[in-house]
Amino acid sequence: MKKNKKLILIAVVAVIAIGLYFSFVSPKKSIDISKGQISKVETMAQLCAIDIYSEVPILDTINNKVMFAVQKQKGSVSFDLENMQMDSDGDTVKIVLSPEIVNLYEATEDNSWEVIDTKAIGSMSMLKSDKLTIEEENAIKANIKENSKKLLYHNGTIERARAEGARNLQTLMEKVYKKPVKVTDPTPKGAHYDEYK
Amino acid sequence: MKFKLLTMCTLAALLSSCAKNDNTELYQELKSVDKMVFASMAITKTAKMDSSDWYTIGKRIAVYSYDSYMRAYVDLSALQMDDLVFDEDAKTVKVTLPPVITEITGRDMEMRKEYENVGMLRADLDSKERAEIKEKANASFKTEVEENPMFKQQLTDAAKRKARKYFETIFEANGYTASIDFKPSSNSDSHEKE
Repeated sequence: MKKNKKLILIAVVAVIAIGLYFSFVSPKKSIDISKGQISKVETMAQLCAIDIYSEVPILDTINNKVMFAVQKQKGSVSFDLENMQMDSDGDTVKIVLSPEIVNLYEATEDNSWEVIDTKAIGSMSMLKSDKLTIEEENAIKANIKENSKKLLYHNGTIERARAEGARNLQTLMEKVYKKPVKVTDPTPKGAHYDEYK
Repeated sequence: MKFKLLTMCTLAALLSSCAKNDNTELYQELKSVDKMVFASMAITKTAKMDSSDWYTIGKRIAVYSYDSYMRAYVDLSALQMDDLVFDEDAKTVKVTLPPVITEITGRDMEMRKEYENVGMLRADLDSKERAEIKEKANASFKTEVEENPMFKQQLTDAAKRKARKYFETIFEANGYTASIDFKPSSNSDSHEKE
């Protein structure tokens, strides 16, 4: 009887030990990457005045889950040269600077998207999952993009890009037209400044 | 190392407060450029993650995709006055543009979920795993762009066609017939920057 109890105890301990072992050992994982497929080729004529590189800490909450990450971003501010208003005033060519095109991407350097931590918050958070779904993660990333763009308008980057764009455009067009060129900017703070107030 | 330390300090400072959306930059670099961009390309990468072992019960498979982008441009700051040769009698102009340069502009922030199958007894994927998947896809993308000249070539060809068309049109509006050429780059016709 005593021997049976001992055997049962050993079996229980063994089961618990095996269970613990497998809960800490991750199953083998394979990641297969397909070959890159060209999905779009676009042509344009855009004058790029500023290249942006930044590293942004991300702290956001969605559905009672908090994420903290660091993202490296790359972007640029450009102007469409094919849809510019041009006019002649005597010997001078007058050009109106077009609205800025702000492109913002995640960089392609190593660790450009580094997730530091996630946690569940709110009542009974200890019992809830802290794992974000891909949809939640994408929603956070959409917020990041909007906030970063907003910052570019507020910290004067867009204003600087427009001023430099106007200067570069004037230099180019004076070479092309061999005449004095005047570039006017109807929205020096940015064509979309009000949207990001 | 310095960056890690800075990151950890920021983490501590931010997590000590209530979690709110905060995008203040750790670092920002603005570079004044004078690039004329004539073409861009989107390249889709798809990644499949499968995690299983002899002792696991149920599948744990996820397939995600996202686009990375490249662009082709000429550096207008390298365009000199003598690169434009006008013939007033014939009303022609010969333009020699700086070489076409290709570069990687970045990648989508979001990933598209193509497929997910996580069994009831398996753990959901977390954000760190998705970041790892994206990191591997990104490394593969950069190697591919470096080793397969097709991407750069196709982009450069499209940019040259567009540049010719654009400059021919603006000179034509000014009464000139333009012939557009490109300076060769130091090593090849186009080169790539990251």
